[in-house]
Amino acid sequence: MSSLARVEPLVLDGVEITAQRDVVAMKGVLSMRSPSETVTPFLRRVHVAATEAGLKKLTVDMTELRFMNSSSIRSLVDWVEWIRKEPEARQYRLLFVTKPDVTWQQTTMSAIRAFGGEHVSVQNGV
Amino acid sequence: MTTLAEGPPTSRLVELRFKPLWLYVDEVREFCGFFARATFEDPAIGDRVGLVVHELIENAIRYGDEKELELRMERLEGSVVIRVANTTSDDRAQRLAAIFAEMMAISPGDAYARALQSAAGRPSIESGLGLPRVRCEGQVDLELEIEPGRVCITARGAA
Repeated sequence: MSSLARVEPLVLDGVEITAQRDVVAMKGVLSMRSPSETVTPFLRRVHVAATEAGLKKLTVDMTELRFMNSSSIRSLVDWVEWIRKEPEARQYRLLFVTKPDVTWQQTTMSAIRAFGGEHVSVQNGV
Repeated sequence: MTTLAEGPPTSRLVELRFKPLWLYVDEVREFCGFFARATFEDPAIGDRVGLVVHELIENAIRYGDEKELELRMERLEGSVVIRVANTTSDDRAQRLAAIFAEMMAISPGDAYARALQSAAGRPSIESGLGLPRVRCEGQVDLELEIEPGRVCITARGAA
């Protein structure tokens, strides 16, 4: 079984987040009122699976994500904090893949990269 | 929900007045983003306007009294101006004034970085990221007006 295969996809109205091998793919719009009740627990399950599998890098494909509100950004902040709190041997890096012509993705992920330091990198996809 | 678009292209105006319900947030963001994209013929401005509109009306719904929300978008002297006004309690208005003053005391980038740093320690229901994000990512100057029972935030950015 691949690293993240046992993490069930999160499918909600307007958004789908899947985890396969070492890639988390976000599609749709992340703008729910309380992502802490859905998105954050999903990302926590991904984090647990990633650390148990000993991943050193996890790709987050955002190229099909049309919008993310600030409450959902908070879920990413939590994710980075979980990684920071792990012993160094269990830490991994998040590689966010963004769409170059989507302005909010560039500005938001620039801020997350600055916040995340060595644990976050950002790369433009297609 | 009512929509008004009138006037010459240099002062084209959108006005929305609607009951502040969460189900409208995505629709209003998309509408205003597409409207700005068409008006200014620039997808990046459409993205910025969508972000600013989304975060401001999301805050108005979260922290308002669920009675009234007004949104206006104007094109003025090389700028796009977005105003979001909502009814709220005086206590919440004063709390917003304190948060706003603290944010405006430092640069947009520093305020956003500080908000990200402190977000993890906040209650999960409020990220504290909305206004710093609007100011930094939306590349807008913000003004806050408070009247009894009502707050209005104006965002002005180059367009």
